[in-house]
Amino acid sequence: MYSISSRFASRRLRSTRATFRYTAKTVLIGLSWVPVIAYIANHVVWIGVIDGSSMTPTLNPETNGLAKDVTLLWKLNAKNYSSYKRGEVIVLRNPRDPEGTVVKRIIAFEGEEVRTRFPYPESTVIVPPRHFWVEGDNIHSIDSNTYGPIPIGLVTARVQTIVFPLDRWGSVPTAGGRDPRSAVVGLGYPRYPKSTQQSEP
Amino acid sequence: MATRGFRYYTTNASKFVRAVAAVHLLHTYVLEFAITGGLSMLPTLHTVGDHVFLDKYNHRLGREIKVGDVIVISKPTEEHTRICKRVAGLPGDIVYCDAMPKAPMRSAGMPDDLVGLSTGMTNGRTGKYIKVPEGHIWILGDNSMASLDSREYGPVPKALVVGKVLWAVYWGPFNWLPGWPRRIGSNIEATDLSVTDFLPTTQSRK
Repeated sequence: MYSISSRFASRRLRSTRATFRYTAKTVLIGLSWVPVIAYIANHVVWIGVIDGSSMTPTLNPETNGLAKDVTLLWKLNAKNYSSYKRGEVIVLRNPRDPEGTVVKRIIAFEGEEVRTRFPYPESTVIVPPRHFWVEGDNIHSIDSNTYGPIPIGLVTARVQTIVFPLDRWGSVPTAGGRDPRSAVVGLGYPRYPKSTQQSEP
Repeated sequence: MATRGFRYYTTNASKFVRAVAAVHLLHTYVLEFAITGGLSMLPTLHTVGDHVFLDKYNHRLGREIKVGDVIVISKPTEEHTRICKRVAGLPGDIVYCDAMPKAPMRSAGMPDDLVGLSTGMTNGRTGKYIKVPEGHIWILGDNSMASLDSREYGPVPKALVVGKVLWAVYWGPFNWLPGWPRRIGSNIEATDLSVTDFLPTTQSRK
């Protein structure tokens, strides 16, 4: 309280110096919480706005470029290779521009042979250890077909939940983009068991 | 006698949390003190016992990296591991990928089911000159005979760079005291040499 003013008492309750000290102390205590918020933003969870159309129609389905999806970026366990499942959407640092990040979907894991798309120079490639083959849901996206498999060290976060717009609120689907069963050699579609009985004419 | 109440513990816990978060922030984004090991950077760094200071503030994500810098990067083929090599090529540079014998991946700590599976990035490109793609760097260990570097991993994305090594302090396992800090510089010593710097001298023939 700086002062009380009323008809009965009009005096300052605290000196300027004391108020200054109180403000300084509050500001410093507030600032001391900033590293904790920074830790949470970098290693736990933060909000991310998705830019670009490489994950259309799963993320940013509007083609006008004005409506951007807002998602939760989960950074807990982001560098743990075995915690990723096929079809997860991840955020990774752009291999061609270290300051930028891209959002893509995991298609294949280490040791798997992938049938590549244009413009990759080889027709199939084996994913190296601790690398992912990532592709954008949009057929025109610049992804592993351009820059090859990406190491786990580039992955920053998982995108699992859309927060905004509210009509698409919820989990990001694990299917979208190229079907891994056609992209990965050896995954294959399930075969129906042959019937041993004679079929009725 | 008054016992320490709820307020005492929460105040001190919140101070502890804030202190740990501040130290972590400094450690990750400003300066880090790390221990190195291995033969691949001899004679610059010792095999065991070399403790290095990493500058992260200026050199995280490969910012301002120059040829000749000793840097620490996340290992491309293994998670939660880091390797320390020297930058030999920047994006756009032409480097020579020499045909080193492929070190067995098992010795590099590779999990058993992936032994023999290399990144494949240098298949068919050893013994050739390569242009480093944009956003990538070419790294080489100083002891190239015993170093898994870009000759195996191919060009490495700049975003994997964790920091640049500034100083090294050697405190070996059999030494009582640590050594004096050594400045780890770029091995590009002089760029304004002329022919006369390379002529033989009387001394050099001994």
